[in-house]
Amino acid sequence: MTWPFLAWSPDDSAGAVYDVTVPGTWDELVEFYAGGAGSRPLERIVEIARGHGVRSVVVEQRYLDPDWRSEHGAFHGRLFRRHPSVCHRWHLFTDDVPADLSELRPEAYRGYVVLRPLPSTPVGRTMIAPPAGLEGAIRCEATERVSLFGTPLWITAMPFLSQDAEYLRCAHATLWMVLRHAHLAHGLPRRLTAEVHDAALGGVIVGRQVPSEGLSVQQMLSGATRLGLSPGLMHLPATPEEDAAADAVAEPADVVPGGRADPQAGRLSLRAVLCRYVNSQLPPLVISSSHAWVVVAYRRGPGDDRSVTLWRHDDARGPYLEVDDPFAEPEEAHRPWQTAILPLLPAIYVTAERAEAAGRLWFAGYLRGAEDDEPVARAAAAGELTFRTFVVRSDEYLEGLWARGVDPALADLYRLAALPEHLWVVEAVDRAARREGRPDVVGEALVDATASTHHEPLQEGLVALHGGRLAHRIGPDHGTRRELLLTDPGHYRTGRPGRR
Amino acid sequence: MADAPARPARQRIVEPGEPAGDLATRLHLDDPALQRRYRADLDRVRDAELRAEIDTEGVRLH
Repeated sequence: MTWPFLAWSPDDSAGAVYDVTVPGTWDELVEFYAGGAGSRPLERIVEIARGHGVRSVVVEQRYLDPDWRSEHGAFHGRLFRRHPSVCHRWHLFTDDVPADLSELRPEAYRGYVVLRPLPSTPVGRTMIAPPAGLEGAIRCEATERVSLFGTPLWITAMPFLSQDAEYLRCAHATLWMVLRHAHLAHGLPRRLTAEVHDAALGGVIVGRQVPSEGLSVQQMLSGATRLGLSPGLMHLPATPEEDAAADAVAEPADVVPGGRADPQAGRLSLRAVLCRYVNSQLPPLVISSSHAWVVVAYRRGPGDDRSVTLWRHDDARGPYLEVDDPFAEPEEAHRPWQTAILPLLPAIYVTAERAEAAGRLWFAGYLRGAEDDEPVARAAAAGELTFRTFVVRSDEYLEGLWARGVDPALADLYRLAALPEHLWVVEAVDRAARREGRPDVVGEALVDATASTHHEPLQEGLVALHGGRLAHRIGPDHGTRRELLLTDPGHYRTGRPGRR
Repeated sequence: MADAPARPARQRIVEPGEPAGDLATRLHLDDPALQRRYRADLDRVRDAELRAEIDTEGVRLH
């Protein structure tokens, strides 16, 4: 069906308020916007809203959505059957909003959903607060300011959008989500849905590109590159056995005096790869043989820090969906988790895996000379040493030093260094401290994100190293090296961007 | 040629720490076992990237 214009805009009121505590109201809203055809993304959004305890939905009834307008101009407005060019937008509040909209409380705001006049695929740009189950999870998200009837509101979330099955497919929608997040979190230009569609056109594929029969991976990569990213591609293990092997040590590690084994070889298991990019606020896209989704969060098990739960945005199923087991997906569209598309920023030349390999090398060297009472040596001797890798803007990294409990002398060593715009940080982590929820960082290697990966062994890229008692900094032009001895090295909190 | 303008007087910041020698040498990163393991790590990463390129050939995402 298509929406009759006047039915879509029932009157000239700018807004309406729905009391969703009245039984049946949510169902009526879903029925109305999905045109009776059902919409899994919309139903999931309502499920999350219910979980937040949303009591009022304020609807902007004539919302001019730039994304929809771009699609409308390029596709929907060119059809013989007419679609309205305006959207509706729900705003979710956990309190009772008065009918005159005189009081809109930012603290009760849980986000918005743009509703397109497309029955069965109505969900447009969405920013909804993550559900309660993601408390304590490491999440990709960004904060957006919203202005509603003269009141500024703020929402922190990972952007979501569903496909329309004609002009936008899953590949477009996931690419848009990542680009929208990159706009809000990293300052990339805003990209509208039609721009995403157009950027991914071209190449030799079977079938039509408009209406879209889906994108090839090469089209996705090309589109992402044209729109300001520099994506990487990484194979993901398809079975638990391959996953375990991807973390295995390539050759036996040496054991040095003090019983400290060298750090294990770089881990390339599914979760290890994806978590590095979630850590970096670079939400990884994952593809199967027919579908694409975005991994938006992960959380380690409270008792078993090796167990990791993932969450995804699936444009055809909704936002913030927990993944029970990537290797036993119930729906065929998700089988297998084949490849990750890693949405690196253009100024980040080194990938997470290479940065971590370099960091592990430096720590392997450090551990050979470390004293037994240094935290990094104790963690290694106990078999509790692991690594956390992420990329961060160096100014953000420096500004966060004080709040992390970093030794003031070490903070000064970093603060007064000449740094590149982005740093790869490879943190040496005491797993026992992590399990107990204590500050868990015992050292870190800072690697220039623009370093050449062909230099041996990324030595030119090391900006600073803190192993424990010894910290070291290297100047970029004259190679000036400075060394700092810390009398009492301890644990400190992670510098991972986003929520800590 | 005119004389170059004099540099304005500048006060250097107080640098933390002490001048030091080469860190890679100090940490013995030239150890063949470390180098071998590091190269194996990078090779595994490259293999995973190449495999992804092969895996995604002919995939259509809808």
